[in-house]
Amino acid sequence: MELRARETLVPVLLVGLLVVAVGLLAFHDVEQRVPIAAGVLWLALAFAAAVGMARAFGAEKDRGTLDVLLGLPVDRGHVYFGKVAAAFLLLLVVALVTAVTYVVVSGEGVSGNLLALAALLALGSLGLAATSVMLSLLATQARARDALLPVLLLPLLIPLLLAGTHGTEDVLSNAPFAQWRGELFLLIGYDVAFLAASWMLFDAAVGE
Amino acid sequence: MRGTWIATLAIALVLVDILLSLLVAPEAANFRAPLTQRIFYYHVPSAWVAYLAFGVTALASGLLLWRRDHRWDAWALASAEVGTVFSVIALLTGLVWSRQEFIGYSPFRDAKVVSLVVVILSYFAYLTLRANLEDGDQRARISAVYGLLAFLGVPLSYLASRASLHPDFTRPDESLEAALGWFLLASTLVFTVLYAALMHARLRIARLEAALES
Repeated sequence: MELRARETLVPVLLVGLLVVAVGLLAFHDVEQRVPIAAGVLWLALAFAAAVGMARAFGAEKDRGTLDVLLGLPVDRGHVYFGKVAAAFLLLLVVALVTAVTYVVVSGEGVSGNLLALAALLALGSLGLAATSVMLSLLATQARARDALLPVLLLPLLIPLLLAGTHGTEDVLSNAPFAQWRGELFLLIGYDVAFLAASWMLFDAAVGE
Repeated sequence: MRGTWIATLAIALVLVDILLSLLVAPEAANFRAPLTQRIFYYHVPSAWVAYLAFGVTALASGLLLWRRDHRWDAWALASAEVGTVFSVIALLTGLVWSRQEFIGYSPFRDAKVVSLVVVILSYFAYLTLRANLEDGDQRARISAVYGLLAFLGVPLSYLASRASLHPDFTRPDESLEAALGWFLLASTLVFTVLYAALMHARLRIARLEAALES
C-alpha cells in the first residue's frame, strides 16, 4: 500500500534527522543528558508522524485511488489496519535511524536496557501510527488539510509523548522496572484505546 | 420574550455568587494567601463546566453518529464554544492562585493542569477543524468523529502525568473547612446554571441561523 515509499520515507526521515540536528545544536552543552535525549527522540518521532501521515490518505485522494480502496470487497477495518501497519513500519525506521544518529553524533555511551527502549519506541510508534492515520483521513476531507493534521494531532499525542519521554528517561538512567511500569502500561492502553476507537469510527469517518 | 427566564436567572445568580464569594465567605485562615484563595470560587466551577461541556460535546457527537441525527451537531458545537471559554478561565485562575499559594510549583508536573491543557487544545483543534469543513452533513460527521477521539485523550493525559502538587480536598489531610466547601458547592451550581443559560442562547442562535439559510 505504501510502496511509493521514496515519496514518503525520504521526507519523513529528513524531518526526524532535522529534529535531532536542532536538538544536538541547541543542547550540546546542557548538563542533563538523559532528559534531553529522551525529549529529542520523541519530538523527532512526533514531527515525523505529523509530516509523514499528512499524505497517508491525501495522495490516495489526489489519485482517485481512495474510492477504489474503500470500494474493495474487504472489511473497511482492514483498510485502516493496513494503513496503520505501513505507518508503523515507517515510524520504526525513523525511530531506529534517529536514535542511532543521536548516539553516534553526540558520542555518548549507551547505557540502559536497549530491549526496554526498543519496546517503548515500538509501542509509541504504533500509537502514533494509529492516531495519525485516523486523523489524516479526517483532515483529507477538509480544506487546508496538510496544515490541519498537526493541529488535530497535538492534543491526542500529549499522553503518548508524556509516557514515552518519562519511560525513556527512566530506561536510559537504568531505573528499575517498577518505576517505568506505569508508562509501559499507559502506552499499551493508549494503543489499544485508539486502535479500537478508530476501527469503530472508521466507517463514520469515511462517510456514506 | 420566550426563553429569557434562564438568562435572567443566571445573571441574578452570578451577581449573588460574586457577593457571596468576595464578601460573605469566611477567610481561609490556613492558607498562605487567604485573599487569593477566593479565586477558588471561580476556578473550581470553571474547571467543572469545562469538563462538563467537553463531555456534552462527546455525548452529542456519539448520539449524532449512533442515531444518524444531525440535530445533535448544534449541541456539540455550542458546548465546545462555551467550554472553550470556561477551560481558559479555569487555567488562568489556577495559575494565578498557584503563584500566590505555592512556592516552587511547576504546572507541568500537575496532572490536572496537563489534562486541562489537553482539553483546551482539543477545543481549539475541534473548532479549527469545523472552520475548515463545508457546511452540512460532512461537517457534522467528521467533527463528531474528532469530538469522540479527543474525549479519549483527556483521561489518558491525566494518567500520563506524574506527581501532582494539585490540592485534592477529597483527602482527609487536605480537607477544606466545611464552610468554604459549601460556598464552593454553591458557586459550582451557579456556574452550571450559567452553562445551561449560555447553551440555551447558543442553541437558539443555531436554530435562527438554520432558519435563515432554509
